Amino acid sequence: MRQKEPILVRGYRNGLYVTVDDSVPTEELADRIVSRLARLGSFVKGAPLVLEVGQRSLNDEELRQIQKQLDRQYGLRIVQLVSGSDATRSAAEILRIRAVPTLFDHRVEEPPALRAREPNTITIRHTLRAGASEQFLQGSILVLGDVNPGAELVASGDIIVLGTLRGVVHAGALGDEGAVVIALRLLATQIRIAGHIARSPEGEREARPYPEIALVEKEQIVVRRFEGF
Amino acid sequence: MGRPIVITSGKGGVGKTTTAANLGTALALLGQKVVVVDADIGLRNLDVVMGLESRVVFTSMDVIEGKCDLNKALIRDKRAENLYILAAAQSRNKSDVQPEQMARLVKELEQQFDFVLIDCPAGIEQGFDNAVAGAQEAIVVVTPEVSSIRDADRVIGLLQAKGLTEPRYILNRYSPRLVEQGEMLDRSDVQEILAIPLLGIIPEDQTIIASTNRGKPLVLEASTPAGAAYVRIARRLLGEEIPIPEFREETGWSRFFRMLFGRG
Ligand SMILES: Nc1ncnc2c1ncn2[C@@H]1O[C@H](COP(=O)(O)OP(=O)(O)O)[C@@H](O)[C@H]1O
Ligand SMILES: [Mg+2]
Repeated sequence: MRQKEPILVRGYRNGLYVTVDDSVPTEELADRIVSRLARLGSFVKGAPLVLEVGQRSLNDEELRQIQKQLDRQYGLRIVQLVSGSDATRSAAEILRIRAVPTLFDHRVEEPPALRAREPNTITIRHTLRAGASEQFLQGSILVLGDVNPGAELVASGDIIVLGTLRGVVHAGALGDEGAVVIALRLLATQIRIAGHIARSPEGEREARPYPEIALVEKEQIVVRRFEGF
Repeated sequence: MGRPIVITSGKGGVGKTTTAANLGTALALLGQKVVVVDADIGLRNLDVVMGLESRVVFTSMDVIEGKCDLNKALIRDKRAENLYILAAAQSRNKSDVQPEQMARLVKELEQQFDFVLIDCPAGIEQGFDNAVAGAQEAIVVVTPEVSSIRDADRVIGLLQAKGLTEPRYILNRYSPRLVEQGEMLDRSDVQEILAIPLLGIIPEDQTIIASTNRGKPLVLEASTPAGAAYVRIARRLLGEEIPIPEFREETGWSRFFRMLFGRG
């Protein structure tokens, strides 16, 4: 049995949905969220955030501090606050953050990884050139083209490239260790899966003439010929 | 109606200004009416490379601000018929011009010229937006270096997003000797990443540096490999089908025969 995580992170409408258990002290709240995100890899940045803070009561100053810290470290914007406390919801209103008592019915005990790999896939029908960056936190990304050096892709699920992958990719960006990266020609500068990182060896690796898959095995990323699951 | 073409690269020092000067001159020598516009406000050097610095009185900024007529600001290059340049203001900032103003200026030039070549500054900020504003076509200059290719790739993405006609690229400073020694990326490596049409290859050529310093575009001089390559690119722009040759290192003997028989 996995221990109950006091902070849960999952993908929600291409942003993050972070649930903080009432056992987390308010002074530590922002720090704990940041370190939780750090364990997922620093790629999740600039995402809209729905923050669920349970029954705790926060005043506007406390909330402002949390907002500031999340913004400074991860560029996260709180777009909605879910709180069972009237006081907290009025504090949110002062800061012009939308606040609701419940967002939807969910169970906090659910491991985040399962929710992260939702059965959605977005398709990008062109080559991603240097400087391009796509983040999809509700499932997988399929690219019908190349991912050039200097482009980056982040998905909560799998990343599949029907072309040459030379850029930087992060699959399972919300902690899903079962996520995979597949490319017809796998020459990625860097591959991240959940909290693991693999860099391309010094000097360009020769492309294999067959598709390859990167996945996590025994706590590290391995790359091998892709022959179906 | 003329063809407004921006010459860009992302990275600085890869040969945009050299290309604008030589391509402009080559097109004029082929009978086209050409204006080369320096869009590098604050860091102008097209006029220097073309040896016309002493003739600059008015700049594109003066035209945009209504201080003088367009025709007064155009500087005629006496060495080729129908070749003009429009200089950039030296003491101003790139933010002093708005993309719409540049677009209007280029529109006006299109009425009078067959080709409007726009020499773009380095970078992807406002100077880039200004230079691209009036253009319909783009030539991306790239050298066979990882950082240059990276920036070119980025710029190609931006040009495509702006909806220009598919950009083409010029591979500059190509050295067959270094490629053979495995010290330079091969042209096929560059093509694989950029994946857009190649307009031509300019070899590494030390005479370019001398010609730049003398203010005399190479295409005006006796045949050199780079000068000949620029003329071929100009002809391709005019729609001629000229294959891109395999560049080979010139040995002492082949240079000797070239000079003896005047072939290159
Ligand atoms: N094919 C070439 N061979 C040798 N030197 C070159 C070549 N092309 C450009 N150069 C040199 O590189 C330098 C930068 O060129 P320039 O055209 O000013 O670049 P940019 O306008 O892109 O900044 C100049 O000194 C120029 O003479
Ligand atoms: Mg220049």
